[in-house]
Order: sequence, then C-alpha cells, then structure tokens
Amino acid sequence: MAWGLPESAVVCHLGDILKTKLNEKRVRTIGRLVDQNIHDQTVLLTSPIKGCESDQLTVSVKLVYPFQASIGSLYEVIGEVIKSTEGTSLRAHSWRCMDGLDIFMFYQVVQRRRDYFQSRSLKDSQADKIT
Amino acid sequence: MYGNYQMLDCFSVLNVPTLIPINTNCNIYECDLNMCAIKSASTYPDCQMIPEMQWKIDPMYSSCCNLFIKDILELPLYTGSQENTFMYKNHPIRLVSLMGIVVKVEEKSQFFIYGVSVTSAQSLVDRMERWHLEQLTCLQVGDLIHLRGRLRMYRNAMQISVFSYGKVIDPTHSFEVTHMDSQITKYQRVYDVPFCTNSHLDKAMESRKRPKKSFKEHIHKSKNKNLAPQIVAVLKEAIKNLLHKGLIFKSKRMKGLHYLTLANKQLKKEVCHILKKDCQKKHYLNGCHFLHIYDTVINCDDFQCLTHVALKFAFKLFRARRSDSQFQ
Repeated sequence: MAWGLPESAVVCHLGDILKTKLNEKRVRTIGRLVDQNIHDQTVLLTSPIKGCESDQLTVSVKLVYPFQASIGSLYEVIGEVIKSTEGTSLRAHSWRCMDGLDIFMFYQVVQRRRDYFQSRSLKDSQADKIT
Repeated sequence: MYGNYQMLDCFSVLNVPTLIPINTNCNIYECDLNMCAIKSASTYPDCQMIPEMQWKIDPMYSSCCNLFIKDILELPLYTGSQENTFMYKNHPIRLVSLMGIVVKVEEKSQFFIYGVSVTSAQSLVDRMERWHLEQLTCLQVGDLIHLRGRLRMYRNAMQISVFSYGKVIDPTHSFEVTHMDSQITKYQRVYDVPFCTNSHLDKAMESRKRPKKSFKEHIHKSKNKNLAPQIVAVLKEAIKNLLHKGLIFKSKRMKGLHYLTLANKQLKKEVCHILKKDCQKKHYLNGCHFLHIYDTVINCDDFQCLTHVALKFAFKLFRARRSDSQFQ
C-alpha cells in the first residue's frame, strides 16, 4: 500500500531553485503570484523576500487546475523541477494559498530547523568516527 | 486533457467527495524499517536502557511525542519489550502526534489513501509523504491535518493507528509556524536529552539513607573513641531541658520518640475539638478550665505523656499566633 508515493519534497527558497544546481527533483517553495497565462497554463511567481523580487520562476499549473489564483497573493507550491534549455521551471503538484503567513518568522524557523539537522548530522558523523 | 490524466496518475483523486469511513481505524504505513533500526540502536551506545518497571516515570511514555517522520520510521523496538513500545535515545515511546499537508489522495473501493507531508522545512521531515492515511474523509491535496496515534509494528512496517485526526483551519498559518518552532525546541530540551531514571532514583535513595547512616556511624565511631558517653550525656541533658520547658513531649507509643510541641498539628486540632464540643455544654458555657482540657487531651491518641508545661506552652503559642493574626 505504501508504494507509488511521490518523492519527498525539499523546502527551499525560490531563488535557490534558479541559482544553484539542485539535485532534488521535488521541491517546496513559497512565492508571490505576479502573472498568469491561461493559454499555456503557467503562472509566474516571485520571491517574497525583500530585495529578491527579481527572482522569477515559471510554474506549470496543469496538474492543479482549476486552482485559486489572485495576483499579489502568496502561494506555496510543492512540485517537480523541470530543467530545459529555456530555463528552470516547476510543475506544481500541490497548490496552497499562504496569505497571512509571517514570512520572516517562517524563514527563521526553517533556518532553525536546518541548523538543528546540521548539528545532528555532525554529531552522528562524529559518533561514527569514534566507533 | 492530458495534464489531468497525468495528475490522476500521481494523485488518483483530487477532489474527494464527502464520505463516511466504513471503519474508524486509520492506518499509516511505511515499510523497510529493519536496516534503520539496527543503525539507530548502535548510534546511541551510551544511553542506559530503562527497565520496564520505570517506563511510566518518563513523561514521553504517556504523552503524544512530536517526532519527525524520519525519526518515527527509524524507531527501533525497545530492547526487552514485546509490546508496541519504541525507543528514541532511551525514551520509551508509544504515542505520536503529527501535523502535515496532504500530498496524495487515492481512492480505493472501501476507503481513501492519503499521503501526508509534514509542513515545510527539511528533507528529513518531508518523508511523511511516504505515509498513507486510510479512511480519512473529505480531505483535499494541500489541506493541513493534525493527527494523533498509537505506534505499532505491522508486517515489519511501522504503522500508526490514529485515534484522533482533523483538518486544521489556520488562516494566518501562525499555528503551523509555531508548531514547527516548538517541535525543534522540544527536540533540543526533551527528546535529545537521555532520560536517566536509574541514577536519579539511586541518588534520591542514597540521600534518604545517608543522614541516618551517618548519624549511626558517627555514634559508633565516637564509641570507639570513648566519646560516646559524653555525647549521650549532652543529648540527654538537652532533652531534659527541652522537656522541662515544654518545647517537646514524649510519645507513649514509641520508646524514645519525642514530639515537637510547636509543630504538632494533631495537638492543636484535638484542643480545638475539645473546646468546640465542651463549650456547648451548660456546665462550660463560660469556657473550660485548663485542667479539664488537660485531662481530656491526655486521654486521647498519643498524648498520654503530655506534661502540664508543654500544654501551657502550646496554649501560649496559640494565643500569640491568634493575636498576631488579629493585628494583621
């Protein structure tokens, strides 16, 4: 019963998907909707962090159609990264409105989690070395 | 539409109609745990295992633990237990509570299967997507749910029997974020700290035993040094003095036991009781005589060796306390 499940998604900033060479196929990211193209069934998301508004990601919303979309709102997308010659884009598997989210708090918590896991993996690796 | 077919492939049903579950039991499945179990058991070699008798002392045994999915999947069975109790570090764990987003909905003939992903954050956490929830009703992809359940081993796979679940309605997402935050705090302060009942208990027991022992030893030692008679004499003198002043009084039941007049609540209770009872009688309408109270008190409980002086001292004390309280 537990087979055929989608891969686990990695939480990352919208900018990270564009810039870095992510190995993960499935990601979870938060972005602000700026434009939507009904014919291609794609939307354009920008980074919600101040100063990073230039990071824009095209998201294909074929799979989540019909979906709620109002320009200027915050959305969370879980989806598959597709790399092509035209650039990186995302195929959304889950689409969730995140209006009202305290972005600063959210990223702080995410960072805290990353730190925690890093410290834990460090400890584990040290223990392995000792044993 | 092609896109929609693909979607149905991935998430069999997107819009789930309202449906009443046939069974109320909800199960979460995951497989392939054995490898992980062996690994994590060897990762914490310094943690002492708690014997089964003392499990209930650990608060994590009876509470719903807020563990990450990855950790839950790797939980080994508690060494020495046959029942469904698992081990994180050396904490015994039975119940878990989870919060996550539904990422997969699958329709079966009798129930629905839901894949759930824990809210945001690390790759470790998101392995909840591999989990299945059966028979939850009317949930859609993207909904936030919260569930609590009992851990169980089922065909070599970890399974959670859910006893409570529900959709979380959280328009500002503050609950979600604080939940994530508190989870890390819990990990750092509680879950990652190994529980050490044995040493705790042993220390407590030792500290209880110590004063008695040390006193006895002291006496024994002093006996050897011919100091014992002196100490005994001093003690006897002191007790005599205290008895004379009425600060303490002897017990009849146990030989050598002395009560503190100041701290004896039973005495005060008894005196109050006598006063209340006897002052209702015609004979004592204007109050009882001291000797009458003394006589009555001496007849009850363990006050047979109570002296006049001690009772007088107690009375003084009651009076003083009463006047104090009046002034206040």
